[in-house]
Formats: sequence, C-alpha cells, structure tokens
Amino acid sequence: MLKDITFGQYFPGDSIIHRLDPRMKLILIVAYIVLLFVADGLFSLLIGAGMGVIFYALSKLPWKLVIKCIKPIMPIIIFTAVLNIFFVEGEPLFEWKFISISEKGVLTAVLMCIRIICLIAGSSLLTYTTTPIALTDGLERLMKPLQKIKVPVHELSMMMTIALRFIPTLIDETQKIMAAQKARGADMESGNVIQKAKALIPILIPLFVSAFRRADELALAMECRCYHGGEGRTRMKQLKLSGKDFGAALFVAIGFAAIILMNMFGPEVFRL
Amino acid sequence: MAEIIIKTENLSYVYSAGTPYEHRAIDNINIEIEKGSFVGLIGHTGSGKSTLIQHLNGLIKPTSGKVFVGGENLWANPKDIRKFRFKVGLVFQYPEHQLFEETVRKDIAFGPKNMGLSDEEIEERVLEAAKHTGLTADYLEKSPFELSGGEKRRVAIAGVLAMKPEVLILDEPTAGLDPKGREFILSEIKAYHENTGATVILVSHSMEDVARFASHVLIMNHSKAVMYGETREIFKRVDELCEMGLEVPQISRVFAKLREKGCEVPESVLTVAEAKDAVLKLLEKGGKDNA
Ligand SMILES: Nc1ncnc2c1ncn2[C@@H]1O[C@H](COP(=O)(O)OP(=O)(O)O)[C@@H](O)[C@H]1O
Ligand SMILES: [Mg+2]
Repeated sequence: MLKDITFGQYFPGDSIIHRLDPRMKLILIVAYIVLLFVADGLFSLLIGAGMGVIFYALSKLPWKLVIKCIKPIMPIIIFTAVLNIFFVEGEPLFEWKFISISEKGVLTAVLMCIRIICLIAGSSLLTYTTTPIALTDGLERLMKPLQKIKVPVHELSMMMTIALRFIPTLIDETQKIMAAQKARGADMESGNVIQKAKALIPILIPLFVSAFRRADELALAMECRCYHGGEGRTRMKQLKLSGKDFGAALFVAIGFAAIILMNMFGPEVFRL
Repeated sequence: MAEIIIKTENLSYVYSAGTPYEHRAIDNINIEIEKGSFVGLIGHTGSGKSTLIQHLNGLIKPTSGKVFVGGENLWANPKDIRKFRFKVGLVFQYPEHQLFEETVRKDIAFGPKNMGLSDEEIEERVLEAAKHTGLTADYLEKSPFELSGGEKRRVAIAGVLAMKPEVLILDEPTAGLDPKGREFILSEIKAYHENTGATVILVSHSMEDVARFASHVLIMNHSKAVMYGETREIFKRVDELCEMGLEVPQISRVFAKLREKGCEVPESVLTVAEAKDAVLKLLEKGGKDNA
C-alpha cells in the first residue's frame, strides 16, 4: 500500500540523466510540459512522447517504473478519457439512443491520455533520477531572483528539503506503528466509516508524537551546528553547467521546433 | 519429543520485489520450535531477525513457504489471521513508540479489548500484566507520555502480556536501556516464561543474556538460519560463531582457550557458576596429580 507509492522516490544510478544539473533538469521538465500542450495533433504529440521514451532509455531505469508511476493515476486517466469521449460534441461517429460519440471526442480523449501519461512519466523521471537534496538545491538557485522581492527563498527550500527528507522516514514509521498495533489485534479493515476512522487513532497519535519529537531533535541538532538561515551561507557542492546540460537543452529545443513545424506543416489528419 | 508450537517450511521473504531496492531478507528458513522452550534469536543487524519474527504472527505474508502455529497453517484462511495475533504476542523493538491512550490502564487494555473479552476479564488481565511488569496501581492512572523511557517500555510489554499469548516474541526488548532496566525486563520475561509455561522467543544482541536464559539458540546470518539447537550445543561451536563475527559468551571463550591449552574442562560452560565448579574440579584433580 504505502510502499507502492513511487512518486518522489529516487532511484540511484549513474546515467547521463542522473548526472545532469538539477537546474537544467527543472527547466527542461517545464519546457517538456509546455511542449506537450503546444502539440495540437496526434503526430506532433507522438514526437513529444518519443522524446520521453528517449529520456527514459538514457536514464537506464527499468521500464517497469513507468507503469508503476502511471498506475496510481489510472482512474484519472480513465475518467478523462470517458468524459472526453462522451461529452465532446462534433460529427457523430456512432449513435445509440441519447449516446453519441464523435470523432473529435475520441481524438481528444486519446490526445489527453497521451499528454497525462507523458506528463506524469516525465516529472517522475525527474524525481527518479535526482536526489531530493539536489532538487531543492536546484529550485533554490532558480528562485534566487525572487529574493529581491523579499520571498524567503532559502527558508522555503530548507523547509522543502526537510519535508522531502522526512517523507520516507514517516512512511517507515507509520508502517512500524501499524504493524505494532496490528500485533495487538487492531482491526483496520472491517467496520463502517466511523469505526475505520476510530481505528486510525492508535496510529495517528504515536505518529504525531514521534513527528514532534523528531522535529525537536532536528531543530536542536541544527542549532548545535550553528545554523542561522541562508545569509552568508556557502555550499559544499557547487552547481555547474557542463556540455551535457547544453546538449540536453539543445535536444529539447530541437524537439520543440519539430513539434511546432509539425503543427504548422504536418498532415491535416488527427488534428484538433 | 515435545509438541511443536511453531514451524516454518522453506520460508522466504523479499522486500521491494521488482525494484532496484529488491532485498531477500530471509531465505529458505526451516525451523521447529518446541512448546515451552525459551529461544534466543541472535544475528547481526540486517540479518533478518525482525523480518522472521513478523512472519510468526502473520504480520508479513511470506513471499514463499509456510508458517505453522500449533499445527495450523497461518495463511490457509487469510480472514482468520487475527486470531494468530493473539496466540503469538509480538513486542516490537522500541515498543514505547506505540503507546497512544490517555492512561496506562487503557493502553494495556487495548489488546484484550480487541480480543472481545468482557470488562471484568479485561480488568483482571490489565492488573495481572501490570503486576508482571512491576507497574504498581498508581501508574495505571497516569498518562503513558509522562513516564520515563524504561517505564514506557514496561507499559508496552504489559500491553502484549495482557493478551496472554501462548508464544511471546520480543524484539531486542532491552535495547537502549540502562543495566538496571535491562536486568529488570529480562527477569520479568523469565518469570513470565516460568509462571505461564509460554514459549518465548527473545531477539537479542547479548550472548551473555541468551546464555543465561535461553534453552535453545537460533543463529541468523545473511538472511539464513545457520544454526539451531540447544544453547549448550550451539555455544560449543566457538570457532564457527567467531568466524561469523558473532560474540561468544566470555566464559565460553575462556574455556575454549583453556581446552586449546590442554586443560581438561567440559566443553559446554555457559555461566559463571558453572565455570567456578569446573575450575575447582580441575584444581582438585591437579592437586591430586601433583601429590
Ligand atoms: N520495510 C522494509 N523495506 C525494505 N527493506 C527492509 C525493510 N525492513 C527491513 N528491510 C531489510 O531487510 C533486511 C533484514 O532486516 P531486519 O529483518 O530488520 O534485520 P534485523 O532485525 O536482523 O536487524 C535488512 O537488510 C533491511 O535493510
Ligand atoms: Mg531488528
């Protein structure tokens, strides 16, 4: 159950994707998402999907991970597809009583599904191949200009780092507490809604107690090491853009151009 | 031969199967534990001890293999799994982190309540478990969160004892306690074992503790059960244990060295009292030889 959530999980590796600068990865993923929405026909979208496939191949991660990150959002995908198939109006393709399915509806559904899958797979690839620390580090650098208008960039990114760092710990903790209460015969599966909510109490209370204890300990440990916020703080790991980062940027730019060209001059079939 | 209370058949478990984090935590475990025995379970951190014991009350479903408790296959009918949780009581490592009720009394009563017992029966069991763990009446109305670490742990152990399990499993119950707290908990476990005749499985890092209390020892190494047998027999194999990097009780080590040097001492010496007898005997004999 809890352990099946892969979103936000890092899978160590040494591929070129793993070694890209996190700032570049963040910018490219935003560009990739924009590109998915710029594509207005099946052919241009397939270029986008192809780019995703190439990125995954380069990352050398098992293909199973794609399925694993899509699985939790399958209901959303199906819901979107059904909604589009039945409610987009246009030239009817098939009619039965009050149900009518249009060609445009089917096409919209297919395009939406590909878009959502690429979007989730793409952003999952970012977290699969980037450590949470590198990710927030990259974010902090990218948001640095916002400091001029008094946005507490460093504090925000420190909060995010800590939150990301503690998600696995808390999931672990939750599982341990659940196991301990189950060992005392706690029944979490049966009963109505109220009984199920009540069954959560023996889990939530120890979880909160331990979360507060951890927060306390962490604050103390940070103070002991003289943490005093972002001012004047230097970094151990300096981020530096290199050839492969520009290569990746070039690749995405070419893909972007290809999609725009396909939009403008490609075949007129399967278009919205 | 005595009745077998717990039996495993080719038991294996793999964590995070199908991901890069895949890990075979226990591998083809076959053990039979006799009713009424006191088993010490020893192994390095990460050798799969905690994973193994969670199979014995059905908290973890085996990847392959079977578990039998009192002759019944645990997973024959998954709906009935809860009944085994009451039969096989499991005290987790750092059990004080599971406390949640307003008072110690209510927290100890959580297990018996889940068993669906009557109020009188629950009350009786709470008092009995509290007595077993040395918690006096004035503790019962306190909040578990205002107790010291050692006291919290006693409350948590009482919470499992109150279910009166036929098999009591404790995962490193003395970790992080001071010597006095350790001694107290170990003697309570021993007393529970003797008074109720329950089978006890004690996961421990301390060879000394296991040598003192356990009738049997199970040694785990790299996800496998490498040795199982009577305490004396196991601690005779000093060399093999040392090869695995496991500590052997000091006394056993001293006597192994003595034998190496040609002294005629018995092979299985576990406690200081036995050592004293053996040394005295040796001296007496030596005295006679010289005379
Ligand atoms: N929930 C879990 N998910 C993934 N791996 C785990 C989990 N729990 C334990 N492991 C791994 O299984 C192995 C055995 O762990 P465990 O049974 O806790 O050993 P022990 O109790 O002997 O220290 C360890 O290598 C550990 O990293
Ligand atoms: Mg353990």
